[in-house]
Amino acid sequence: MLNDMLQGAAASVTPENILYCFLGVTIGTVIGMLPGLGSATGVALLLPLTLTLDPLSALIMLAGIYYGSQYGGTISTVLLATPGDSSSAVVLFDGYPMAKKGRAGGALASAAIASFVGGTLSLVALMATLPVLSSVALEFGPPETVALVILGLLSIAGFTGGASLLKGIAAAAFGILIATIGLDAQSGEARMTFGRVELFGGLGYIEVIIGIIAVAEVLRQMGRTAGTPMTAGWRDMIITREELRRTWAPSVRGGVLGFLLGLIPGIGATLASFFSYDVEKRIAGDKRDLFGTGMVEGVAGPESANNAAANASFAPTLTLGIPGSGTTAVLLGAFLVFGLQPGPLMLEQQPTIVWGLLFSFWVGNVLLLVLNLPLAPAFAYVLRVPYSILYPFILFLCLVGSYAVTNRMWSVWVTLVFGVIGFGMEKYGYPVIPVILGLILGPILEVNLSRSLSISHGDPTIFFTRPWSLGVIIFAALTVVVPLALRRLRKTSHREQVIV
Amino acid sequence: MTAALGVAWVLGAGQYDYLGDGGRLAPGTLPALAGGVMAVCGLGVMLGAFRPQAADAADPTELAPPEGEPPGDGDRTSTGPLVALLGVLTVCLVLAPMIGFDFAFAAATFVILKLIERSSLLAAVSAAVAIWAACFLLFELVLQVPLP
Repeated sequence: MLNDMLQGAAASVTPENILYCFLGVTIGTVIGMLPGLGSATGVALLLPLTLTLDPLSALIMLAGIYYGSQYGGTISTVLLATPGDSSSAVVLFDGYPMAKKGRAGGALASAAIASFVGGTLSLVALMATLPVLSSVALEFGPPETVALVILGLLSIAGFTGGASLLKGIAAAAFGILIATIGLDAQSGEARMTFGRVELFGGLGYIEVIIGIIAVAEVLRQMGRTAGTPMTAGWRDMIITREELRRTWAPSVRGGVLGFLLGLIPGIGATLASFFSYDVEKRIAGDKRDLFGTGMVEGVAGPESANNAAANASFAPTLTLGIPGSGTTAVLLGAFLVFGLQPGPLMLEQQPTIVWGLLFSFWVGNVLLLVLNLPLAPAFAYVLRVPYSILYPFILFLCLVGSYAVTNRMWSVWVTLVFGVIGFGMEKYGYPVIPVILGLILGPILEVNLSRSLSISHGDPTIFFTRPWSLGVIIFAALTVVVPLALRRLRKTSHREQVIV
Repeated sequence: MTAALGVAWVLGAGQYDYLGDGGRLAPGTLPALAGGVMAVCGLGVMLGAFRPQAADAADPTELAPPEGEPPGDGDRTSTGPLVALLGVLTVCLVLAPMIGFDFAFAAATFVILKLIERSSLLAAVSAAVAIWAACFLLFELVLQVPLP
């Protein structure tokens, strides 16, 4: 194990991989800053450009885009009051008021330090957790895998569905539905191909992902105008001693909370940052009312939590093959494109890639800290580029990128059609991330469902008679029932308060 | 529409058999299951639309937008420019195999910026040239993608 870790560490610090990590975090920071481009869009957009790289370098770069965009989102939130990424949205409450008071630099520096603390803490915890999770996952057979897929689909559908769980589940079912297009793996029969030869191989992950996330986002954001960001000079980036003192404790708390929440599939960085803000506010005592007016704790805690959760969400992705968040769902697609199957055997079969990727997170966090402390004001100039100039470039990257995957115009059409579908879904309140999850997990579900029913001679109770399978199914049911029950409880108590 | 698509998929799955021998999986089982779930959820969404909505939300999970996606601020797109953009892209993709992807997309960029976004001539020409250069340098030269 130690040997594998050292090999992974060595692989992550080769000049080539440091360069890809640097490119990833830099591009990620810019993407995160641009309103309308989330981390999932960023990863989807640049995935085709990494196809010629070796898998570790490509994954290091894509992961760099993921956590780079988390910090980039903070820059636009603080300077423009426009969160570039959803996980930075909560920083708006105190980061922007700090900027209005002339402390934009303090907010950005505090966020950079907190991100580093959260990232480092979660990485250590992730390295300790991963072997344990992998060994537990090795006990899993086909029925447990089916239960895990159901857990992954329900948790992501539940948490990304916003107001409607039904829409989230419908979106996940739509993903499974389009995954069934093509040759059936068991019988070799062509299903739902409507006589089109191009559909025999099914719909490609990347083409659909780019379309439904990136193209749909461009269509949704057309008409956005460029903002005028607040300026923060290099001298302003110096954090005061008082701000630094107040950054540490929320960073540690946010890091721990973010890691624990990030381990649960579906929670992701966004919810971790909102929970962390809630915790900081609750323990602030007399200063509670000052939240929302520019409290550095309201920036540090959520920033640390979102970075820690982003790292932690790789645990279920790498060990169980179940994405922990929306962006890791897109990254899971990248793993599959490179011929890697995340799951219980991943750590055993691809130790250099797993450990190399994890160590690269820390390298990326160091690079982000070094980059962002002095360069945030320079990055902020990107915010002045009008979206009308930017989006033709994004569309171009999407369409040429999808062509580059298969060298066929068919892929480009698939991307465009799914862009329109994604736009329509968003317009009517259907989340798109569960579609990707359904598309990726659908084939895994079908194979393991088939194996499970073969083992049990067609008896479906097999899923409820094996302890792990039953436990995971109960947990999956809880991820649906508990948020609904809590929501109902809150509404009831709210009504009672109103009546009193 | 969700319910209709789900029902259509369930019906379509019938031609591949809903269930295999002895309760095992047939090629139509999963399409029928997924279509069924979609139909039920679609029906639920439809029925839910008739119920009055409560506006109170104090739960952080309700405040948070989907992770990895940009924070929702509603779509900003009006129908006219959107249809025009999709039209330009469709023409671009139809022409791409005939006149080349790089040239087709550069021309599309010019049309988008000049006619849809009403940008200046200089901005439209500059962006079109930049797209053409990026297409050639990044994809054809560096990544060696055989673009049509």
